Amino acid sequence: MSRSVLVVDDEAGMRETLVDILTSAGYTVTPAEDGAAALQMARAQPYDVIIMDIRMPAMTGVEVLASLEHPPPQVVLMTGYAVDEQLRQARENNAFAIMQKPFQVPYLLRIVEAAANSAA
Amino acid sequence: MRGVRMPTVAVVAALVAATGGSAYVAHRANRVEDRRLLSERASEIALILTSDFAGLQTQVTTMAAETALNGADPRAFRTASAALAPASGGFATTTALVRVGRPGGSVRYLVKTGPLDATSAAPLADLMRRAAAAGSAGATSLVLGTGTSRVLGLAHAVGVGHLVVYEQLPLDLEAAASEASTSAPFRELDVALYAAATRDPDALILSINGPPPRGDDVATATAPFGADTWLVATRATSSLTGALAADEWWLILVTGLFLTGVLGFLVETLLRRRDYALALVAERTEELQASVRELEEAQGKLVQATRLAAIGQLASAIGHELRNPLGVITNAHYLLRTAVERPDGKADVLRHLDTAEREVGAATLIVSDLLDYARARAPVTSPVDVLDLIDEVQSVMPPPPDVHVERSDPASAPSVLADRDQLRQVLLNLLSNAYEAMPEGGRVTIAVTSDERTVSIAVTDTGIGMDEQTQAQIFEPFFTQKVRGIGLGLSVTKRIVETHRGTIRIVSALGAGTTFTVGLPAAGAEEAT
Repeated sequence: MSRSVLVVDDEAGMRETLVDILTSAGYTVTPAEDGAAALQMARAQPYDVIIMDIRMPAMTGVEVLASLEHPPPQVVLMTGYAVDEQLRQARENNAFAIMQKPFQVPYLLRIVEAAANSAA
Repeated sequence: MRGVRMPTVAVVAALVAATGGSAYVAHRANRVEDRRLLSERASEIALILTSDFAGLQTQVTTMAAETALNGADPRAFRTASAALAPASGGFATTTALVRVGRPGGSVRYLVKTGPLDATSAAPLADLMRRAAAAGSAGATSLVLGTGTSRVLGLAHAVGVGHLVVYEQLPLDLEAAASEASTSAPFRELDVALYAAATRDPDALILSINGPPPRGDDVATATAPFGADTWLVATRATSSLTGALAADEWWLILVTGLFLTGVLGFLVETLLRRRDYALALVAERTEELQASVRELEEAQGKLVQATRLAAIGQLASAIGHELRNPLGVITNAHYLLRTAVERPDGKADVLRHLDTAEREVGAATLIVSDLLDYARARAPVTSPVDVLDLIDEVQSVMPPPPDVHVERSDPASAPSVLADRDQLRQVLLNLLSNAYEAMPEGGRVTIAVTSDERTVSIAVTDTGIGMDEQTQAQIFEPFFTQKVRGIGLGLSVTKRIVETHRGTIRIVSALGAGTTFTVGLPAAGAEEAT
């Protein structure tokens, strides 16, 4: 069975390229445009991995992570600019990894793979 | 120990000079007054003393008159002289009747009631001759002898046959002096009486209160005595003007010097106090300057730190914004690499190229914004048709699907003196802000109004609006409410408007929308002002 990934980014370019990359890597990928939608979808259906931008309007990736019910899926956060406070909160909420943009795709794939294995 | 201050020296010197001068003047004035008084007293004393001797003169004159009446009879003379000049009161009086020859002739004593000093024969003969020559003008007088055996001789012409009567009486200097010295005019005075017109020691008749006065400070007065002139010499033993007046000059001197000392001390004290105060001020000033220097250094460091912080803020804002498009481009690059290897990958390649191109555009826009902000170009102005420019901006930036744009244009076409490129950027910024304020769609109204001086362009949206704090910060660089963007658009907009001597105002309410109004000087108003 293919493992499921939820890709959350308000920026279309990043969201779409990630969907393409992860799909071709063999994951079942679902996109979400903002934090609120992601939270709703994660509650409706469990995902093995959530890969999510930190800076988004209305609800940040860290806020979504903090709101997820137990047992949480593995969450990989992405950020262009790491704010200390957000990093601290992300770690406190057991983010699987925090990736600094721009990242090399093979590296992303290894992280997602590790997260998916960890989730399973 | 520092030396005495120059001003103190000057003050002391001036006061010493003034004191000395005053004392000298007082001393001189007192001396002049003393001499005047002494001179008066000398005249007074001359009068008193000569009147004391007037009795003797009268005696001789009377004797001469009686001798003449008696026909110069020697016997009658002897009787008369005994009656007129008795040897009383301790005075051993000698009288004589003398015949004097023709002028310059011999002197013969017709009668002698007592001894005559043989050693004085020549002066006596001379006295007799003078008396004969004087005639009825009065007696002539002469002091004879030395030491305690001095006598006063008086001679008077009888007026008959060249006869002269002569009377001599011993001079008891001490008795005369003690008698005279008790009377008021002689107090405080040394007095000498001479039976001559000069201070001839041989002619000294009496000397009161001491030896005959000598020196410069002696006053003299002459007094007529018969046919002769007698002289009084006097000198004050103490000041005639009074002890206070005499002491005035040194009282002035002592008081003046004392005051000089006090004033000098006072001046020196004040100077030292002033010097101390000045030194204190200098010290405080130095401390203050040191503080100012420290403050300036601290301020310099602060400015440097602030500058570094601003650079850091700028760098992080740009870095942050560029990371997103760079991330997407990296992803697209990976996808392109895999797509080109697939035979059916052409459609995917084109799609990923589009994505990459879009992100490059986004990155370029960020860099452009930054350059607009960094490069504050002075406007190159020319008349710009505002309505025409708004048409152009609308065509460059068409609204999103749910947004409707309305225009409210005036009847005439106003123009402003502006840099067309910069003004275009202002309008693009305002319009794109309006679009972004309405994610759910809405209406944008662009309204232009004008009068003689100003052209106003108001861009109103029906978007989310903003609170007062946001309105206060909206023009600050790097302030942004958007998730994307580095927050320079309105900062640049405001700066452009201000370099055009224009104004930008904001009216906004949360949930109701926002109006930005840009006011620019109308073309033509420029020349008027």
